Amino acid sequence: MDVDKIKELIELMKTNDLNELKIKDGETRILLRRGAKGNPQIIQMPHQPLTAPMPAPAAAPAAPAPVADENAGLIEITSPMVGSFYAAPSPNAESFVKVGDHVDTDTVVCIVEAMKVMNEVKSEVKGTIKKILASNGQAVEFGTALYLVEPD
Amino acid sequence: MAGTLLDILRRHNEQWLSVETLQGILPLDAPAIHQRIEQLRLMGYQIESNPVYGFRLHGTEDRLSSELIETSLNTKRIGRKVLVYKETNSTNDVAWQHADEQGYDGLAVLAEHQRKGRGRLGRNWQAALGQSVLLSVLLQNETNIASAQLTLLAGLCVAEAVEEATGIATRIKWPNDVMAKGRKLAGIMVEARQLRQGRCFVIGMGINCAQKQQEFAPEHRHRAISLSQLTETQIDRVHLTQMLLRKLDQWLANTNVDRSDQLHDRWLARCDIVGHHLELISNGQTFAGRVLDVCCREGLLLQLDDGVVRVFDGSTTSTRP
Repeated sequence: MDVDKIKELIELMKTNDLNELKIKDGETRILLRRGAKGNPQIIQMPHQPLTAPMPAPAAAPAAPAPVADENAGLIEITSPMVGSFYAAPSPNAESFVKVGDHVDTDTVVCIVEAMKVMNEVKSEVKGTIKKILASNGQAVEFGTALYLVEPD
Repeated sequence: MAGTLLDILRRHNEQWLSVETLQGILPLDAPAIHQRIEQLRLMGYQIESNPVYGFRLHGTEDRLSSELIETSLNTKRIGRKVLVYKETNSTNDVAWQHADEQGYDGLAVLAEHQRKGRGRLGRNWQAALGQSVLLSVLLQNETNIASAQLTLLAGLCVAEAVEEATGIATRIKWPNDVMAKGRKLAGIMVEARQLRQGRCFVIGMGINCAQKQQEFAPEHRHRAISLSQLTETQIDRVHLTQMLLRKLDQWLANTNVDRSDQLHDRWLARCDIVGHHLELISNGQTFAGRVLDVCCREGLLLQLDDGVVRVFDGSTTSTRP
């Protein structure tokens, strides 16, 4: 479900003064709920919560996507999964990469922890780290941009 | 074969066994027996020798050895290769060193002592010589199983292996601690890497075996426990390791078959979390609610106090009952 659609639903809730809205659209289920201040909360429901299906193979890192405007020409390294972002292998260790570092396709740039599994994330692109977009310990979604890389 | 000789020596602890007696039991000649005795000494066993009386073993402390573990293991995938180190930085690191080599799928790495064992987030996993079972298992090119399932599966295998090998009742604390009498008995950490030949995992497991309470670090002392504190019987770490490898093999020998329902049910049977009200911290925010279910893939399904149902990943750092 895209962001515009969700915005539309939020407007619909506001104009009709609805507090809760459940939408089921194929595999996607969404629950919108307006909080104390009237700000809707978006809750992504799991697909089949009570009978866990055989999970699909762990997702391969998403293909690098080009980024527009001031970051023109830069390529995003995105999170391959939902989890917590760690820039370094341990709290007191040095970060895997810093701004200005040169990375190769198989350079490890960070760890995303999901369900207590430490997943190494590789650059998948050859170039120079220009920006670090995620902060240490931050919760990230599938596809969240973590780094911007200027390709060679 | 060193395994069989060792078994005999252990059964006759502190008693002399002549070379002739040993030859009568084992299909070995005298030079071969001497050679095996030397191997056992290198492994750290204290064996006294006498030209007339033969050999006797001192002490009952067990030592891990790949021969002992591989003997009659009979697994299809896990533990087909076993490496035992007297000391290493981290068994997980050793397993990763072999991740690129052909034929190392299912490799089991054990160490008597670990200098820099890693827990989650670089937390140190302490282990003095011979006091623990420190085991890392390598899975090469594993695409069927979701990484989240491995955390639950490893916890379940450790809990079941401990209970069957020692008779000590175990529970699981969400998501990956194995508990006995409300204290932490074992920990698990899974690492995943995308390598040239495919997705690889190392499952690291640490079981406290012989530690006395004062031997745990002060900061963990009040919530850690070891097997020897829970039973009078001597812990046979070889037997426990074999049991654990067989349990893992039952789940991992053939991952083409979907057994997530079975995993879900058996895991839940050892965990008291469903139905409980708890508080947890996710991304710096505190949430409170009742646990509806545990999903093998996504994590905890929580009905928050305001009625909203939400899924929390297992990396959610802390839960309070």
